[in-house]
Amino acid sequence: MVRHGSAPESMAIVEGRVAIEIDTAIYGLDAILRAGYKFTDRCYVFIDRPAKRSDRVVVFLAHKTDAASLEADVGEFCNELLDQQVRQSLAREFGGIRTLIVAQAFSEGNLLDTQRDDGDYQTDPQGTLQRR
Amino acid sequence: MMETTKQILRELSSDAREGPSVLPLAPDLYPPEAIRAAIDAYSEFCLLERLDRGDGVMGLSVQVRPAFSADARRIFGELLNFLLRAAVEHGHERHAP
Repeated sequence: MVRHGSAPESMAIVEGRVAIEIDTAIYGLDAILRAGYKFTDRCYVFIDRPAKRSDRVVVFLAHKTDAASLEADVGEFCNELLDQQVRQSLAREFGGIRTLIVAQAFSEGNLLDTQRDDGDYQTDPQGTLQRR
Repeated sequence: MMETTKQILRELSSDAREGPSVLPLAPDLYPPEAIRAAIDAYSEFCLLERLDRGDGVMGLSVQVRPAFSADARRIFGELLNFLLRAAVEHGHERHAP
């Protein structure tokens, strides 16, 4: 995405409406859809894919009531897009760990080491009495 | 600026309408379930017709019914938002384990 003013072909604000061209190699479709979703309370949002550019999408925003605040909305939308992309990346990277932590929190036993809580001290399954 | 971009920006500018608008709906952005849901929800307010453009992109022809023409911009905009919300919700279903 290009900042407002630096590349008019990538972003055009006209009378309370804006079209923002986004590179999908930087921001995934899920992040773009979710960022758009968050703006449906204050803007009308539509997402299109240019016919000859499969690596781009165009997001249209039009403010529902206050056209004057659209420029601020565009800035917030860009921040939201980044936020959503980071969330997606973190979920991809740490989603498995998060699931395990939640499962462990709601579990009565130890999911990672069942012997730790259920083992018998006399049989010493952890070998804690052995010299090292 | 692309013709589609101009058209959609024009549609969002005022309540004045000159015939139906055609929204291009890429299937990886707007799944068929989202389009069906939007047609069901907005048929009362708009004349809606699915168009197969033949390039893998579905089109949705939208014309706000004359009885609601005074509120055409809002109805058109809320239809766009409905489509997006449905797309995100169906995307959740697609990605569910």
